[in-house]
Amino acid sequence: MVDDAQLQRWFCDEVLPLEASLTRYLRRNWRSSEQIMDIRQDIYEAALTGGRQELPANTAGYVFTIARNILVNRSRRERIVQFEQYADMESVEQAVDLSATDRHLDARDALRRAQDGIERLPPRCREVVRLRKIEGLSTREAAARMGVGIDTIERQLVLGIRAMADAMLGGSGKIRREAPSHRPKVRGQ
Amino acid sequence: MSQAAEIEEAAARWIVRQEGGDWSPEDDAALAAWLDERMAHKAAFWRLRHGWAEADRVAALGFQPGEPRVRRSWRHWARSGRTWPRVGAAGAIAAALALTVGITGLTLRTSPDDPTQAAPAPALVQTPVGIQRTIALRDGSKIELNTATAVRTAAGPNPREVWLEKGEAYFDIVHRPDAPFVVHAGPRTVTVLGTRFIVRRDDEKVTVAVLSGRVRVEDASKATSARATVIGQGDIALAQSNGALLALAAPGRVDAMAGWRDGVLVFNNQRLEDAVADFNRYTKRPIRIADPAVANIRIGGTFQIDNSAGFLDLLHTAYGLQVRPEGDSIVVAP
Repeated sequence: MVDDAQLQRWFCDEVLPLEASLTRYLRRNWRSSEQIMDIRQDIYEAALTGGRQELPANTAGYVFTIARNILVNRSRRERIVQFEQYADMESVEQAVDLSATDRHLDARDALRRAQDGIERLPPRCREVVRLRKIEGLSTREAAARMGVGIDTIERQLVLGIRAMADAMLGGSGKIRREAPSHRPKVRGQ
Repeated sequence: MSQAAEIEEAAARWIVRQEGGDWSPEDDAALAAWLDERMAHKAAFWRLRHGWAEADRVAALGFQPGEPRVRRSWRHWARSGRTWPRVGAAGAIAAALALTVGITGLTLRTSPDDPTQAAPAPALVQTPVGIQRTIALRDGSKIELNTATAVRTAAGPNPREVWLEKGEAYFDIVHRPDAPFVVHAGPRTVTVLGTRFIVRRDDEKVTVAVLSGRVRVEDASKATSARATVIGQGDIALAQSNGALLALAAPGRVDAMAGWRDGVLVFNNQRLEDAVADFNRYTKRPIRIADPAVANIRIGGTFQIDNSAGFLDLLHTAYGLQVRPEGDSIVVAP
């Protein structure tokens, strides 16, 4: 049994650096981009559940194998045939090769991700992130500085954390922000 | 909201509370209980906390408090320039087009190039049909060449100037406030400071799609930039060979235009003829449409670039079209 601290370290050091290439792999092999986040979450959950028993020797191979299995199971459940799945289920090996480049991000790449991420935030959210990350203000201090309520700061921070984490892991840093009460009906459910 | 998004939002709220300043032992116990509920909670929480800690690097960017004012004016330009159906009268056939990017008040320093190194000679990089290739420039910028594309770089120690002779390329340009980056695409010129965008050239027709940053578009043949507009992230500028220029907000189309970087072609209610033309850019065995009525069928979906067989299969099974090989091409007929 692997303890939580070990498991977390493995997840952050070995699994998360694969996120950009894993996401590309999912986009290539799954038609509906709205489901990518859910699928990726399933993959992480399965990777952690398995990793808790024993950490794999080859993390990339392990993660992409899980990814392929989850895609295959999902496509069996889907009623619509994925036309593009004929071709590409074999490319796990290829995806693992690709991932090697992503794992050695240098400091400049990371800085550019930070810059891109910050740039894409909506203005108010950007200001809240700036106050937290650069000026080190607490939520209360940030609220006083901006003349808004604490809950406003917290709401913007929730957005900022999600968007910046995504950007730093090589994603687009775009977060859909519709509140649950306003969301459109999900088709087919 | 998807389930993953809901979990992620809950995880983000925990981080906000934990960082917020009033964190009690009870809160700590509640967080531990939430994490133990599901492995998915741990995955989301650890991922966000790791990525959010990485984002500490923004401190190194040192961006300025005065920035919002500048941004607002850019955005104002972008809005006012959105609908811009015709620039350049019929006479302005070869009107040059200059795009410059205003990339917010952020400053990002890259390490200066070593001046002692010899200046590289100009280089021509070409991709054959069906092949993509990435080239790195000395300043850290990156160009991804799509199929059947030719890019020439300038001579000099730090060439921030390239010519797109033909085809399509994705540019990821390192921000340099002092040195604009220039892309020549036929009669058009694209000048940027730092951003990510795609330029596609079909002879005299030039399409620019912006993935991040902002791009200022002006008619460079005029001394004044009276007809300047700004396109930003999610916008497309279409420059026609007759000098007309169209700028529109079309995030979906920008994403679709970037599909080739993931090895896919994305069609959204496109004419079959246009979809086929897109496929044919990647193959030496082109698909031909035998009947004009078939050419106008609307088609949508995501297809592997290298799997035109899957695409043809769909035409046959879903649209009932005949698909047969004929010499060096494949013919689609009703």
